[in-house]
Amino acid sequence: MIYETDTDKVLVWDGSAWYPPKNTAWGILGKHELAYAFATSSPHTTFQDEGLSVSVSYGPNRLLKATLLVRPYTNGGTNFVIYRLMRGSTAVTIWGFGYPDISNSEAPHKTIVYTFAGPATAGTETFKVQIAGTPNNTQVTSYGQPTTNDGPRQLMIEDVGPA
Amino acid sequence: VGLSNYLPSSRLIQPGVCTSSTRPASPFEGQVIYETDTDKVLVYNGSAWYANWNLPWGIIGKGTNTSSQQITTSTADVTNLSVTWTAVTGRQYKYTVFLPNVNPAANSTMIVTITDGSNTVKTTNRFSNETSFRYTATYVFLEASLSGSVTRKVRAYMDNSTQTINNDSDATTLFLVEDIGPS
Repeated sequence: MIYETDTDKVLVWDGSAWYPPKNTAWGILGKHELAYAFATSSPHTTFQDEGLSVSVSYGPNRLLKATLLVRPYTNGGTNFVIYRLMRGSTAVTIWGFGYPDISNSEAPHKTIVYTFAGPATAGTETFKVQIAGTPNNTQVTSYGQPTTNDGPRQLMIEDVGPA
Repeated sequence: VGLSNYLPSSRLIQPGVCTSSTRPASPFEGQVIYETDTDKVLVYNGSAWYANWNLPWGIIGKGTNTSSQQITTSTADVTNLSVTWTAVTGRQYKYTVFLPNVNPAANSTMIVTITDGSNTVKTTNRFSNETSFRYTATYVFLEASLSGSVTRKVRAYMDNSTQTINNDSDATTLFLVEDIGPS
């Protein structure tokens, strides 16, 4: 076990690399926050990067948790808003929102939490959020505003322990 | 076979084992101790004892309430959902708000904020529904760049009507503050 005086990290050699103790949660790995909105362009039914994106380094065989705070809105008309979380080119999970939750002339906040097993080998990849409308080809929006208004949208990736 | 296999623990030097009142008087940077009265493992960073800096430190505090509360068009504190703690520079904090049983009027919006102790808004969340069906309002928010004594509390108001946050022992409101790691 070592203590790095410049980073204040306590790390353990597992035989091939230095990691925090593997029997504990490692906490936040990365986050991203945006204070502006993203609106889809046609074809709205195709997933499009909505801007939330963070590069994360993870350990081998770890349980990861994604938390997403968003404000979806069907500004193009009656529709559903679909969010997709990507790890690199791999889809992690999908969330959907529709009537009556988001059709009250409002863009209410939604928080989604999803826990999933990371890869068996350590790596660094970009997690990003995509959005699409379905089933209608009408515009949907992922809102974000400054904290002085209705607040930003956020993406957070945490390590919650061994998988 | 180690020395500890032959000698009872009372005969061995136990480096780093102390109590919260008998910590080393002249610690060195990187020194690790275990406090037998608190079961804490702490590391000296050159100026103070902390849990492992690169790990989350977990729950800081929470507020709960089991009594129902009317939410009106005037902003007011949500009962008991307030936490005050001493924030450490360089750490990130996660707030979780959980209002499990909101009984709304149709076509109404509840605006829920997290503020400091002086009611300055840190983030705002909107919850709306076209029906009068009950729903759960929950959200998570991150904040960093805090230090010293910090208060965060939950406040709420309605846009056009009065509604009730129904609470009982099976549906208790919660405001949770967690340390999730270094910023």
